[in-house]
Amino acid sequence: MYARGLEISVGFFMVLGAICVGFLALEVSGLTYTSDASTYRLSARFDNVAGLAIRARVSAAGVTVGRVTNISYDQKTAAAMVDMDISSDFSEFSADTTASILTAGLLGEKYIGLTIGGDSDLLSNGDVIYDTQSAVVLEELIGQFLLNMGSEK
Amino acid sequence: MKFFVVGLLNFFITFGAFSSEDPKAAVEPLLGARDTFYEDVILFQDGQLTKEELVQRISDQFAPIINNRKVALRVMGKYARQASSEDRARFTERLEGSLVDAYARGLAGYGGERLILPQKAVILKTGRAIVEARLESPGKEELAIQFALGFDKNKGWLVENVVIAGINIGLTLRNQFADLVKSTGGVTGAVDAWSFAVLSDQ
Repeated sequence: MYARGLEISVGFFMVLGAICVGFLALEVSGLTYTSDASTYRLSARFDNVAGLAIRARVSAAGVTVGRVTNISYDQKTAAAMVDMDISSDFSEFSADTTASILTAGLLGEKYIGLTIGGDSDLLSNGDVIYDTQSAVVLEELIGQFLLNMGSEK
Repeated sequence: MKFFVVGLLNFFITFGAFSSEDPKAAVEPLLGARDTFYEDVILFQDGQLTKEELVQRISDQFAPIINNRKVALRVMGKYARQASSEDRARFTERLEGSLVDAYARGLAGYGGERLILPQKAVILKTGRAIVEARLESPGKEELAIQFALGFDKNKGWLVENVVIAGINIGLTLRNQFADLVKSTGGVTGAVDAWSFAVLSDQ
Protein backbone atom coordinates (compact mmCIF):
# COMPACT_ATOMS: atom_id res chain seq x y z
CA MET A 1 0.00 0.00 0.00
CA TYR A 2 2.89 2.32 0.90
CA ALA A 3 4.73 1.44 -2.33
CA ARG A 4 1.63 2.22 -4.41
CA GLY A 5 1.29 5.65 -2.75
CA LEU A 6 4.96 6.36 -3.43
CA GLU A 7 4.59 5.39 -7.10
CA ILE A 8 1.58 7.69 -7.49
CA SER A 9 3.50 10.57 -5.86
CA VAL A 10 6.51 10.02 -8.15
CA GLY A 11 4.20 9.84 -11.17
CA PHE A 12 2.45 13.04 -10.10
CA PHE A 13 5.77 14.88 -9.75
CA MET A 14 6.90 13.54 -13.14
CA VAL A 15 3.75 14.91 -14.80
CA LEU A 16 4.14 18.21 -12.94
CA GLY A 17 7.78 18.41 -14.08
CA ALA A 18 6.79 17.76 -17.71
CA ILE A 19 4.15 20.50 -17.53
CA CYS A 20 6.72 22.94 -16.09
CA VAL A 21 9.27 22.10 -18.81
CA GLY A 22 6.57 22.54 -21.48
CA PHE A 23 5.50 25.90 -20.01
CA LEU A 24 9.14 27.05 -19.83
CA ALA A 25 9.76 26.02 -23.45
CA LEU A 26 6.67 27.95 -24.61
CA GLU A 27 7.65 31.04 -22.63
CA VAL A 28 11.26 31.04 -23.86
CA SER A 29 10.32 30.45 -27.51
CA GLY A 30 7.51 32.99 -27.45
CA LEU A 31 4.96 30.40 -28.53
CA THR A 32 2.67 31.27 -25.65
CA TYR A 33 -1.03 30.80 -25.95
CA THR A 34 -2.82 33.95 -26.91
CA SER A 35 -6.44 34.54 -27.56
CA ASP A 36 -7.55 35.50 -31.07
CA ALA A 37 -7.54 39.20 -30.22
CA SER A 38 -7.66 41.46 -33.27
CA THR A 39 -4.39 42.77 -34.63
CA TYR A 40 -3.22 45.11 -37.36
CA ARG A 41 -0.17 44.86 -39.56
CA LEU A 42 2.85 47.19 -39.49
CA SER A 43 6.12 46.70 -41.34
CA ALA A 44 9.56 48.15 -40.69
CA ARG A 45 12.54 48.53 -42.97
CA PHE A 46 15.93 47.70 -41.43
CA ASP A 47 19.41 47.75 -42.94
CA ASN A 48 20.29 44.76 -40.80
CA VAL A 49 18.14 42.43 -38.68
CA ALA A 50 20.97 40.11 -37.56
CA GLY A 51 19.53 37.56 -35.14
CA LEU A 52 15.90 38.72 -35.17
CA ALA A 53 13.55 35.76 -35.47
CA ILE A 54 9.95 35.29 -36.53
CA ARG A 55 7.65 35.43 -33.45
CA ALA A 56 10.10 37.76 -31.70
CA ARG A 57 8.22 40.17 -29.49
CA VAL A 58 7.48 43.79 -30.33
CA SER A 59 7.44 46.08 -27.35
CA ALA A 60 6.74 49.70 -26.50
CA ALA A 61 8.04 51.05 -23.18
CA GLY A 62 8.79 47.44 -22.19
CA VAL A 63 5.20 46.26 -22.76
CA THR A 64 4.67 43.54 -25.36
CA VAL A 65 2.35 44.96 -28.01
CA GLY A 66 2.84 42.49 -30.84
CA ARG A 67 4.91 39.83 -32.60
CA VAL A 68 7.13 39.60 -35.67
CA THR A 69 5.28 37.58 -38.29
CA ASN A 70 7.57 37.67 -41.30
CA ILE A 71 11.09 38.75 -42.31
CA SER A 72 11.90 39.22 -45.99
CA TYR A 73 14.54 40.84 -48.19
CA ASP A 74 13.55 43.91 -50.21
CA GLN A 75 15.62 43.82 -53.41
CA LYS A 76 14.70 47.40 -54.37
CA THR A 77 16.29 48.96 -51.28
CA ALA A 78 18.62 46.07 -50.35
CA ALA A 79 17.14 46.05 -46.86
CA ALA A 80 15.18 43.70 -44.62
CA MET A 81 11.42 44.15 -44.29
CA VAL A 82 9.96 42.98 -41.01
CA ASP A 83 6.21 42.45 -40.73
CA MET A 84 4.64 42.76 -37.30
CA ASP A 85 1.18 41.98 -35.98
CA ILE A 86 0.29 44.62 -33.40
CA SER A 87 -2.58 44.18 -30.99
CA SER A 88 -5.47 46.52 -31.77
CA ASP A 89 -5.38 47.59 -28.12
CA PHE A 90 -2.25 49.58 -29.02
CA SER A 91 -3.18 51.83 -31.92
CA GLU A 92 -1.69 55.18 -30.88
CA PHE A 93 1.68 54.92 -32.61
CA SER A 94 2.63 58.19 -34.30
CA ALA A 95 3.72 58.28 -37.96
CA ASP A 96 7.29 59.10 -36.87
CA THR A 97 7.58 56.13 -34.52
CA THR A 98 11.07 54.61 -34.47
CA ALA A 99 11.58 50.84 -34.53
CA SER A 100 14.83 49.55 -33.02
CA ILE A 101 16.25 46.04 -32.84
CA LEU A 102 17.21 45.50 -29.21
CA THR A 103 18.68 42.65 -27.19
CA ALA A 104 17.15 41.37 -23.96
CA GLY A 105 20.12 41.35 -21.61
CA LEU A 106 23.70 40.83 -22.73
CA LEU A 107 23.13 37.60 -24.65
CA GLY A 108 19.33 37.47 -24.74
CA GLU A 109 17.02 37.18 -27.71
CA LYS A 110 16.51 40.03 -30.17
CA TYR A 111 13.24 41.93 -30.12
CA ILE A 112 11.80 45.11 -31.61
CA GLY A 113 11.32 48.21 -29.50
CA LEU A 114 8.94 50.93 -30.69
CA THR A 115 9.52 54.52 -29.54
CA ILE A 116 6.79 56.96 -30.44
CA GLY A 117 7.50 60.37 -31.94
CA GLY A 118 5.51 63.58 -31.80
CA ASP A 119 3.66 63.51 -35.12
CA SER A 120 -0.11 63.87 -34.78
CA ASP A 121 -0.69 61.42 -37.67
CA LEU A 122 -0.95 57.81 -36.51
CA LEU A 123 0.26 54.58 -38.09
CA SER A 124 -2.48 52.34 -39.39
CA ASN A 125 -2.85 48.86 -40.88
CA GLY A 126 -0.32 48.26 -43.67
CA ASP A 127 1.93 51.24 -42.90
CA VAL A 128 5.71 50.96 -43.05
CA ILE A 129 8.12 52.38 -40.45
CA TYR A 130 11.19 53.73 -42.24
CA ASP A 131 12.76 55.40 -39.21
CA THR A 132 14.64 52.47 -37.71
CA GLN A 133 17.72 51.56 -35.72
CA SER A 134 19.26 48.35 -37.05
CA ALA A 135 20.86 45.55 -35.07
CA VAL A 136 24.40 46.05 -33.81
CA VAL A 137 26.75 43.61 -35.51
CA LEU A 138 29.64 42.68 -33.24
CA GLU A 139 32.06 41.96 -36.11
CA GLU A 140 31.48 45.43 -37.59
CA LEU A 141 32.08 47.05 -34.20
CA ILE A 142 35.34 45.14 -33.75
CA GLY A 143 36.41 46.03 -37.31
CA GLN A 144 35.71 49.74 -36.73
CA PHE A 145 37.52 49.65 -33.42
CA LEU A 146 40.61 48.01 -34.96
CA LEU A 147 40.65 50.42 -37.92
CA ASN A 148 40.31 53.44 -35.64
CA MET A 149 43.14 52.12 -33.48
CA GLY A 150 45.26 51.68 -36.60
CA SER A 151 44.56 55.22 -37.87
CA GLU A 152 45.43 56.76 -34.48
CA LYS A 153 48.91 55.20 -34.47
CA MET B 1 -9.13 81.00 -70.34
CA LYS B 2 -10.90 78.29 -68.33
CA PHE B 3 -8.99 75.57 -70.20
CA PHE B 4 -5.74 77.42 -69.63
CA VAL B 5 -6.31 77.57 -65.86
CA VAL B 6 -7.34 73.89 -65.73
CA GLY B 7 -4.28 73.00 -67.83
CA LEU B 8 -2.02 75.03 -65.55
CA LEU B 9 -3.50 73.34 -62.48
CA ASN B 10 -2.97 69.94 -64.07
CA PHE B 11 0.62 70.85 -64.81
CA PHE B 12 1.30 71.81 -61.21
CA ILE B 13 -0.46 68.73 -59.83
CA THR B 14 1.45 66.48 -62.24
CA PHE B 15 4.71 68.29 -61.59
CA GLY B 16 4.18 68.04 -57.83
CA ALA B 17 3.49 64.32 -58.00
CA PHE B 18 6.48 63.84 -60.28
CA SER B 19 8.82 65.76 -57.97
CA SER B 20 7.76 63.76 -54.93
CA GLU B 21 8.75 60.58 -56.78
CA ASP B 22 11.79 61.90 -58.64
CA PRO B 23 14.97 60.22 -57.29
CA LYS B 24 17.22 62.89 -58.84
CA ALA B 25 15.25 65.82 -57.39
CA ALA B 26 15.60 64.31 -53.91
CA VAL B 27 19.42 64.48 -54.02
CA GLU B 28 19.61 68.00 -55.47
CA PRO B 29 19.28 70.00 -52.19
CA LEU B 30 22.10 67.95 -50.65
CA LEU B 31 24.28 68.28 -53.75
CA GLY B 32 23.70 72.04 -53.80
CA ALA B 33 24.56 72.48 -50.11
CA ARG B 34 27.65 70.31 -50.40
CA ASP B 35 29.01 72.07 -53.50
CA THR B 36 28.42 75.53 -52.02
CA PHE B 37 30.19 74.36 -48.87
CA TYR B 38 33.26 73.30 -50.89
CA GLU B 39 33.29 76.70 -52.63
CA ASP B 40 33.07 78.48 -49.27
CA VAL B 41 35.89 76.36 -47.85
CA ILE B 42 38.14 77.42 -50.75
CA LEU B 43 37.29 81.08 -50.01
CA PHE B 44 38.05 80.46 -46.32
CA GLN B 45 41.37 78.78 -47.11
CA ASP B 46 42.29 81.69 -49.42
CA GLY B 47 41.62 84.07 -46.54
CA GLN B 48 38.61 85.69 -48.23
CA LEU B 49 36.29 84.51 -45.42
CA THR B 50 36.75 84.55 -41.66
CA LYS B 51 35.74 81.48 -39.62
CA GLU B 52 32.65 83.33 -38.34
CA GLU B 53 31.64 84.20 -41.90
CA LEU B 54 32.16 80.58 -42.95
CA VAL B 55 30.00 79.34 -40.05
CA GLN B 56 27.29 81.86 -40.99
CA ARG B 57 27.37 80.84 -44.66
CA ILE B 58 27.12 77.15 -43.77
CA SER B 59 24.19 77.91 -41.44
CA ASP B 60 22.43 79.85 -44.22
CA GLN B 61 23.02 77.02 -46.67
CA PHE B 62 21.88 74.11 -44.49
CA ALA B 63 18.95 75.66 -42.57
CA PRO B 64 16.52 75.70 -45.55
CA ILE B 65 17.02 72.00 -46.39
CA ILE B 66 16.07 70.70 -42.94
CA ASN B 67 12.44 70.14 -41.96
CA ASN B 68 12.78 71.73 -38.53
CA ARG B 69 9.17 71.23 -37.47
CA LYS B 70 9.26 67.48 -38.18
CA VAL B 71 12.71 67.07 -36.65
CA ALA B 72 11.57 68.89 -33.49
CA LEU B 73 8.49 66.66 -33.13
CA ARG B 74 10.64 63.59 -33.74
CA VAL B 75 13.10 64.65 -31.02
CA MET B 76 10.40 65.57 -28.50
CA GLY B 77 8.86 62.14 -29.05
CA LYS B 78 6.06 61.23 -26.66
CA TYR B 79 6.52 64.50 -24.80
CA ALA B 80 5.34 66.47 -27.84
CA ARG B 81 1.76 65.41 -27.04
CA GLN B 82 1.89 66.79 -23.50
CA ALA B 83 3.79 69.94 -24.49
CA SER B 84 1.96 73.23 -24.98
CA SER B 85 1.95 74.74 -28.46
CA GLU B 86 4.27 77.50 -27.13
CA ASP B 87 6.78 74.91 -25.89
CA ARG B 88 6.63 73.07 -29.22
CA ALA B 89 7.25 76.29 -31.15
CA ARG B 90 10.02 77.35 -28.78
CA PHE B 91 11.70 73.95 -29.04
CA THR B 92 11.54 74.02 -32.86
CA GLU B 93 13.34 77.35 -32.79
CA ARG B 94 15.94 76.25 -30.24
CA LEU B 95 16.58 72.93 -31.99
CA GLU B 96 17.00 74.64 -35.35
CA GLY B 97 19.58 77.01 -33.88
CA SER B 98 21.49 74.28 -32.04
CA LEU B 99 21.49 71.84 -34.98
CA VAL B 100 22.65 74.35 -37.55
CA ASP B 101 25.23 75.65 -35.10
CA ALA B 102 26.51 72.11 -34.50
CA TYR B 103 26.65 71.31 -38.26
CA ALA B 104 28.35 74.61 -39.04
CA ARG B 105 30.97 74.30 -36.30
CA GLY B 106 31.62 70.68 -37.30
CA LEU B 107 32.02 71.59 -40.95
CA ALA B 108 34.14 74.62 -40.14
CA GLY B 109 36.71 72.23 -38.72
CA TYR B 110 36.98 70.75 -42.21
CA GLY B 111 40.00 68.48 -42.65
CA GLY B 112 39.76 67.42 -46.29
CA GLU B 113 36.75 65.10 -45.91
CA ARG B 114 34.66 64.43 -49.00
CA LEU B 115 30.95 63.69 -48.90
CA ILE B 116 30.19 61.28 -51.73
CA LEU B 117 26.56 61.56 -52.77
CA PRO B 118 24.79 59.30 -55.28
CA GLN B 119 23.14 60.74 -58.38
CA LYS B 120 19.78 59.31 -57.32
CA ALA B 121 17.96 58.76 -54.05
CA VAL B 122 16.04 55.58 -53.24
CA ILE B 123 12.34 56.42 -53.30
CA LEU B 124 10.74 54.33 -50.55
CA LYS B 125 7.24 55.58 -51.35
CA THR B 126 5.73 58.80 -52.71
CA GLY B 127 7.20 61.68 -50.74
CA ARG B 128 9.70 59.59 -48.78
CA ALA B 129 13.28 58.82 -49.82
CA ILE B 130 16.70 57.93 -48.50
CA VAL B 131 20.08 59.07 -49.79
CA GLU B 132 22.93 56.67 -49.12
CA ALA B 133 26.07 58.82 -48.87
CA ARG B 134 29.55 58.18 -47.56
CA LEU B 135 32.15 60.39 -45.98
CA GLU B 136 35.74 59.85 -47.00
CA SER B 137 38.31 61.20 -44.54
CA PRO B 138 42.04 61.18 -45.20
CA GLY B 139 43.65 58.28 -43.30
CA LYS B 140 40.38 57.17 -41.71
CA GLU B 141 37.74 54.56 -42.37
CA GLU B 142 34.91 55.53 -44.71
CA LEU B 143 31.74 56.50 -42.86
CA ALA B 144 28.26 55.55 -44.13
CA ILE B 145 25.73 58.38 -43.85
CA GLN B 146 22.06 57.91 -44.64
CA PHE B 147 19.82 60.96 -45.08
CA ALA B 148 16.09 60.39 -44.59
CA LEU B 149 14.12 62.85 -46.70
CA GLY B 150 10.48 63.82 -46.81
CA PHE B 151 8.73 65.80 -49.55
CA ASP B 152 7.06 69.06 -48.55
CA LYS B 153 4.69 70.38 -51.21
CA ASN B 154 5.84 73.96 -50.59
CA LYS B 155 9.55 73.48 -49.95
CA GLY B 156 10.41 70.29 -51.89
CA TRP B 157 12.66 67.59 -50.47
CA LEU B 158 13.82 68.24 -46.89
CA VAL B 159 16.06 66.29 -44.52
CA GLU B 160 14.11 64.73 -41.62
CA ASN B 161 16.73 62.45 -40.07
CA VAL B 162 20.30 61.27 -40.42
CA VAL B 163 21.80 57.86 -39.67
CA ILE B 164 25.59 57.94 -39.25
CA ALA B 165 27.45 54.61 -39.23
CA GLY B 166 24.22 52.86 -38.22
CA ILE B 167 23.46 55.28 -35.38
CA ASN B 168 20.04 56.90 -35.74
CA ILE B 169 20.72 60.51 -34.75
CA GLY B 170 17.00 61.36 -34.42
CA LEU B 171 16.53 58.52 -31.94
CA THR B 172 19.70 59.49 -30.05
CA LEU B 173 18.46 63.07 -29.68
CA ARG B 174 15.00 61.80 -28.64
CA ASN B 175 16.63 59.82 -25.81
CA GLN B 176 18.65 62.92 -24.91
CA PHE B 177 15.45 65.01 -24.73
CA ALA B 178 13.73 62.36 -22.59
CA ASP B 179 16.69 62.43 -20.17
CA LEU B 180 16.42 66.23 -20.01
CA VAL B 181 12.70 66.00 -19.21
CA LYS B 182 13.50 63.66 -16.32
CA SER B 183 16.40 65.74 -15.01
CA THR B 184 14.61 69.10 -15.30
CA GLY B 185 11.23 67.82 -14.12
CA GLY B 186 9.18 68.73 -17.20
CA VAL B 187 8.94 69.57 -20.87
CA THR B 188 9.31 73.33 -20.34
CA GLY B 189 12.49 72.76 -18.34
CA ALA B 190 13.87 70.46 -21.03
CA VAL B 191 13.15 73.05 -23.75
CA ASP B 192 14.91 75.71 -21.66
CA ALA B 193 17.90 73.44 -21.07
CA TRP B 194 18.27 72.41 -24.73
CA SER B 195 21.28 74.06 -26.30
CA PHE B 196 24.33 73.55 -28.46
CA ALA B 197 26.07 72.18 -25.34
CA VAL B 198 23.53 69.31 -25.18
CA LEU B 199 24.35 68.36 -28.77
CA SER B 200 28.07 68.65 -28.09
CA ASP B 201 27.73 65.97 -25.41
CA GLN B 202 26.61 63.47 -28.05
